[in-house]
Amino acid sequence: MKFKRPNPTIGGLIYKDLKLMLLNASGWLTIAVFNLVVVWLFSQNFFLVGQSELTPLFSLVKWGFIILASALSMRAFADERAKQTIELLLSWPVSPWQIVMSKFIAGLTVYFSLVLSLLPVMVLVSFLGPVDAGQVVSFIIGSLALFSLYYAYSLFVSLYFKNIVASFLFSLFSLFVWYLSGTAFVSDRLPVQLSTLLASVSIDSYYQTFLIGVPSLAAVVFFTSFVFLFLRLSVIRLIKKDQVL
Amino acid sequence: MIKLKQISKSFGSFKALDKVSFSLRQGVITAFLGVNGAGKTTTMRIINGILDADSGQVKVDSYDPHKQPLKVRQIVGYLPENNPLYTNLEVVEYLALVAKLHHVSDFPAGQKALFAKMGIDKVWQRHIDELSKGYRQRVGLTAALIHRPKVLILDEPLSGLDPVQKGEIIGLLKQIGKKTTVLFSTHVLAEVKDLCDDVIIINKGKIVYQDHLDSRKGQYLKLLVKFAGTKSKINGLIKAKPQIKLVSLASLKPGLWQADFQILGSKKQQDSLLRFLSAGLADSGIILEFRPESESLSDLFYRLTKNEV
Repeated sequence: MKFKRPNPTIGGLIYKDLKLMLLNASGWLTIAVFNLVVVWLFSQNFFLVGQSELTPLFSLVKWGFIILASALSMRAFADERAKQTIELLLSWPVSPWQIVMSKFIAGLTVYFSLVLSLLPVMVLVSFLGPVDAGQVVSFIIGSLALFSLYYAYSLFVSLYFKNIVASFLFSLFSLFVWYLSGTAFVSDRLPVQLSTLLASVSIDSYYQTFLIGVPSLAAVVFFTSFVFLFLRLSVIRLIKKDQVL
Repeated sequence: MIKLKQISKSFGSFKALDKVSFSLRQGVITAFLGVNGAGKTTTMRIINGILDADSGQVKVDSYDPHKQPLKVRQIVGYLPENNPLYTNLEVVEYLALVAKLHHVSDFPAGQKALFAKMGIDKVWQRHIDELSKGYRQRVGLTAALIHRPKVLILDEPLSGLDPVQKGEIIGLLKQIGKKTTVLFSTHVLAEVKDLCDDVIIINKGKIVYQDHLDSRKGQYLKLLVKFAGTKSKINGLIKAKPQIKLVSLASLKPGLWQADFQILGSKKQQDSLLRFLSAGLADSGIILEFRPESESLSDLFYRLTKNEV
């Protein structure tokens, strides 16, 4: 018998989730497909515009992240509930915050893997012409904030479902509606009062500040507040054990 | 080690537990019997702090699972019903995770003997989803034991195991049960006789029986009485003779009681106590049935849960 000591602690829970989301064939395939689709869509206009501009790339990910966050989060809690492993989680000496944060950090690890996988495209663009490094940093921080918001929301949603497909579809649809409701496409068709109200919680308007390279404090507060809110709501939901078992 | 006092729990309009009280001692293996939906799993979850009771008090080694759930979970080993596992992990990854969360510093070297007894060493680096049901059960049990818990709560631990495996695991649990408080739910009464010291039967969310298993092996005389009269008369007789122990008392209809007694003492003393009891009851009511018997555990279980079987 050959014993090996695999992985350390906090990491234990994160590693468990990563094994499910990323460290398997379907996980790598998801990253590869996401990467290919985004790069393909980006390349459609890139050569037409003739500028070494990364904005369209990060503009595209806002839609891709909705699908990705919904898909990843359905495995986080809905799957645990469907397979009854949520009872194991609740029987271990870990707090609801630790459970939620471990899943959140595992999701962020997937995000960083995606950004890393897009690195060759960014390097390639920088060879073709000058790229504003500050703007790239803004893009990356903005996309991190955006993914964090989507993922924290989807985690919360997945606590309400035992069916992973239902969790995925609800998260996908509601995030899509939320994002779209803050865009000019929708607000132009709504009464002023309502469009003003929607603008205050518009993901799009705050994300755009990152895309133009000058993120506002309000945008940082917006994303941070909503991420914390959904993580906190997930913890509260998890504390109501009757409803998640 | 474990004390439950007047625990009640409802799910919507369904009352899962109704003023459940019992206590479990250290070094005693207790069988927890009941038909499906009787409240076994809910009770076990409340002891481990996985669920909160609506009312009542629970103490696990002086900790309250509602207020100090992490302390309780640190000293409890738990095997849930249906043995859910993270099947995408290797056995070693899963056990390492459980060990780390319970702050087991000597993993895996300190548990080599446990792994060998459980036969886990043979499947150490295999994915759990590749394992047979029997091996999965062993992995679940090993995970429950890995931090050397003071309290072991096992919901159907022997399901899926073949007779040889069952024998091995029963042997192991007997050994562990000498120092550990074990609460063990099962439907298979033969397992209870092989393994357990005490037995608790729950039906429709109420404890209907709690006793030492030895008493079922003929050390005590059992007495079933159906009596039309007052409850206070029965209580009065018990108070007068401490060798007469009331095990359960059920109201069949107003004024009609069914009581289970244990009669302690030598054969001569038991005869004398039977005479005392029959005379006392006849004095203030009507005895409809007076049956000294040695009732088997299965008979008792079916009688107490017959409305559900």
